[in-house]
Amino acid sequence: MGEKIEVQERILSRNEAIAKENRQLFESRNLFVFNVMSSPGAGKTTFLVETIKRLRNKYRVGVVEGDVASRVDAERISQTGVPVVQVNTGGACHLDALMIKKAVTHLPLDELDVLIIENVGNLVCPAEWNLGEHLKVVLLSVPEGDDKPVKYPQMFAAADILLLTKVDLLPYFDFRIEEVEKVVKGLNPQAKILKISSVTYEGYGEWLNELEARIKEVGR
Amino acid sequence: MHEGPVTESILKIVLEYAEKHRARRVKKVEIVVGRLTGYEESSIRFYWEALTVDTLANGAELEVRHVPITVKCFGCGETYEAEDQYSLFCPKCGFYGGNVETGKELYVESIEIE
Repeated sequence: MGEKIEVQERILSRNEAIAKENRQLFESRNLFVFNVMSSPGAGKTTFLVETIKRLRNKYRVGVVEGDVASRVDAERISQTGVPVVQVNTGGACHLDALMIKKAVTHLPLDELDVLIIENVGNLVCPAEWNLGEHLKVVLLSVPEGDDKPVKYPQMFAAADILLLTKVDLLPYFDFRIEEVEKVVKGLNPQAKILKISSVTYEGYGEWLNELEARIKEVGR
Repeated sequence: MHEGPVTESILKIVLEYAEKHRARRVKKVEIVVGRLTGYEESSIRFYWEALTVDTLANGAELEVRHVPITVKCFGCGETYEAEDQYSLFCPKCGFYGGNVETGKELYVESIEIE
């Protein structure tokens, strides 16, 4: 009558399969890819502009910009002169592997060394969606408060590098860096935590050194 | 959130196996959902009902087995059950954080066909 069949197959496999394809494509082109996530307004785009300015003398950079709507961020990035593609998700709260797969067909991958993906501003969803990237970078800005890692553990557990941004504003906020470090290390002992300011440029040296070390690790 | 795409993926896996075994229809589907995934059973059921119409899985019973979140404390090594994805506090030593040993599971366990 009824026949029972063992399946034991993981769900969410479609995005993982495409993410794996993306990764294979990136490796075949010798391309290092990192995914930048944070809540809206933490300073991702400004941080990217400053990072690109410092990376471009050594590496050819391309960018995929993710937003629900508008070209605002892509336009800011394009002022640096590097190739950029704007993805509008039209309502989806995160980028997924398929969107990245389509977006990179508009970039000259053979002429790039580093691809930066700026995800949709959101501390909840993007953490769950693998894009095929080598590195996940999360930004947390001082004005947002030091309780975000406790409240959004999945995002902070997924971060390979956590950048505390807007540290020039520390004197004006009750932001306890030790609290953030304690929680993040509890969630993810491997995470590297750095502090930067895109106004004073404090911390950019260490950030670029760390990034370059990761790029070299992947063999680029 | 995202129970829509997750349920689509569940159905895709179910139909692949059903077709491979030349099923006339799917009677039952067993899935395993760890509590750390945050997926709501009621939302999955909502999408399941809508998506299975006009497929071999129309009317199939959906059984959901939940797996609790167990954590091995980084501080003292104690294994404890956490209430939800926000409560990684060790009841023995109070340390925040540990290795999540169970709770992330998300898979289709089996299907019953005829």
